[in-house]
Amino acid sequence: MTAPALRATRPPAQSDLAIEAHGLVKRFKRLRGYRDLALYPFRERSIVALDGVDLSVRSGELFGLLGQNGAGKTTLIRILSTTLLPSAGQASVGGFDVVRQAGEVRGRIGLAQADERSFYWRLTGRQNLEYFAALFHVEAGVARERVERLLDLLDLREQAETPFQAMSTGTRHKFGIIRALLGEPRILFLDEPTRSLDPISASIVRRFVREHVVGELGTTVVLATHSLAEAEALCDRLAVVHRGRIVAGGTPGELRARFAREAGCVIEVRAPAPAIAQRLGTVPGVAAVRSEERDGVLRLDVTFAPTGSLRAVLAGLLAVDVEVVSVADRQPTLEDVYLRTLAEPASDDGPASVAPAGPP
Amino acid sequence: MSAADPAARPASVDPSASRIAAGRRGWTARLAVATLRRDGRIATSYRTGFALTAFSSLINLFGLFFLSGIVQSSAAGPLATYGGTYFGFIVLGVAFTSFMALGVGGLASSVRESQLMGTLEIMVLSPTRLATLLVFSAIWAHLMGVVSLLLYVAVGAVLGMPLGAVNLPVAVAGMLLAIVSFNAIGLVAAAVVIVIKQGNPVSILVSSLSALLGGVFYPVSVLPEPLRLIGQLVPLTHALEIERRAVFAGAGFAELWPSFLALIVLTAILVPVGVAACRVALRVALTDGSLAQY
Repeated sequence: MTAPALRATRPPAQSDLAIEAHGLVKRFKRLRGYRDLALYPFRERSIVALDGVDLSVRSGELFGLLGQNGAGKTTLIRILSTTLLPSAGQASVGGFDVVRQAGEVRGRIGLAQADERSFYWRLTGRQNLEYFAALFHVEAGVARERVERLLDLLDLREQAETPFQAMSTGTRHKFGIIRALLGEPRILFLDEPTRSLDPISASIVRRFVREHVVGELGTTVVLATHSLAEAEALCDRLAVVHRGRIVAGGTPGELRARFAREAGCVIEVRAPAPAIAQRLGTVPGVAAVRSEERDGVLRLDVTFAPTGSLRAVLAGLLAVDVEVVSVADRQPTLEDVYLRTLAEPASDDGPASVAPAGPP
Repeated sequence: MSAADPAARPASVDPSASRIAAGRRGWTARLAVATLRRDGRIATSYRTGFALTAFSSLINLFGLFFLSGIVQSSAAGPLATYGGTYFGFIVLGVAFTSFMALGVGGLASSVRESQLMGTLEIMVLSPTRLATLLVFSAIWAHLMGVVSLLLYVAVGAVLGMPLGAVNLPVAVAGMLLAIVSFNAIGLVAAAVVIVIKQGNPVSILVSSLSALLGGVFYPVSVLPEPLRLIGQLVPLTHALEIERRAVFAGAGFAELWPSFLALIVLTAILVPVGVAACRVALRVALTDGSLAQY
């Protein structure tokens, strides 16, 4: 698709940006079979995981990376969190280059991975956090206070003394988030933080991220998810990642606006209502009308043209002698946007880039 | 629902800046203690394995006692400088070789465990460099090694190992130097595991070569000249020379300085090689994205 770069008309000041990436590319060497090695010993094969990603994230922003499994979200997060080197391109986090100044970047970030393995399973939750606090150079007293607070906020106090191996998958994920916050990082990377959580726990984590991490601490959060609901509920801005490229980006509202042709309404009228569909089709701003009759009710699915509105359709409806049963506005959901974005071919001009739309 | 406007949120002070500064002020010791506590807790949670390991060491000791009864009469000449008893010679040789294996293989095992547990990637995010973290992860094993060594020596003494002439300061100094040297080789072994993610090939090779050339089961004087010369490149050769002569003959620095000098030179070469190997291995793993793989 031709996804326009959401460049700022007035670019934000450099210091306002927590993360910047330009032309990030990551190629992984493909594992080759013995036969392939014997026949073509010098041929290198690679898989492109990221293909020229441009990205800017403003300080204090909750930024979402939305994409299917294997889209490249985790690869992007790993590069930005310095646990993976890019093949090409440049990125800075907190003003420091992720390759040349990795140490400075590491001192300013937190990373909560989707992988729940990364704990010492024979130690309790609290013993694990105690060690990781020392690993990240957090003073013991400060770490203790933070751990207590975070355990309360994430409703984990009762599990603190449980060996990690005896915890549920969701609880382990929550401990991963606490670990990432031990050093009170300026920038937090969350890779699918609610993937293994039940709905209530997921809701607790989302509220925690929005209210505590971003709202109270002012931390910049980059959150990778394939949950549209999560992205819509949490994120200030989103980038849709597909096959290693950013194919669309903006605020949830902007993304919906770009796909405004999906907006419309659903009207139900008492049948029979002869030629009502054709009449509504002539109303200015109506792009299409589909009708379907069932159990004496005619359902009219109206799609607006970019200039269309519910008001115009209702005016057209009042001019006709029909009994209206119901009228419902139909706004495009993020799911519509997501599916349409993925369905459309990538632009020949290269991938979209995501930059903040200037200061609010 | 969208989150609140970022501009309305509190300005982020930079607590991490103090964390970075703290990283340069005395965190090394605190992290070493935290790692020791971590490994101690994990090790003591495997109570049965801990007891069985100690028990099997003692069984080995009795085996060596009976073996030395056969070898003693024919080995008296070459053993003169080491107190004259084969039992003492072999007990210290085997005990110290086990200790070396902890240094050489312990770091690689620690890396392998971290790969399997997925903690290696998290360790990389620490402000402390990976080589230092790996050495810290061997502290517990070394402490247990010292306990095991002392147990060996104590039971050996009961079985007749001569300890009347021990020069303790020299023995301890030699041991500390040997630990640094073994750990430097361990860093190379760990670097290989970071890249190939399998087994412990360097450790196995070094242990085998050290056993052959370092004089674990026999004095190096019985080796052919070419092998004896190659054996001079093995830290264990000099470490065993220092330990045996300090423990059984009470030798001091004045007599053992050539061995100390050789061990210092080897250590001075091996430490930067080990650190560089870790750095290269880390770069390879960061490039191919295999830090979290196993």
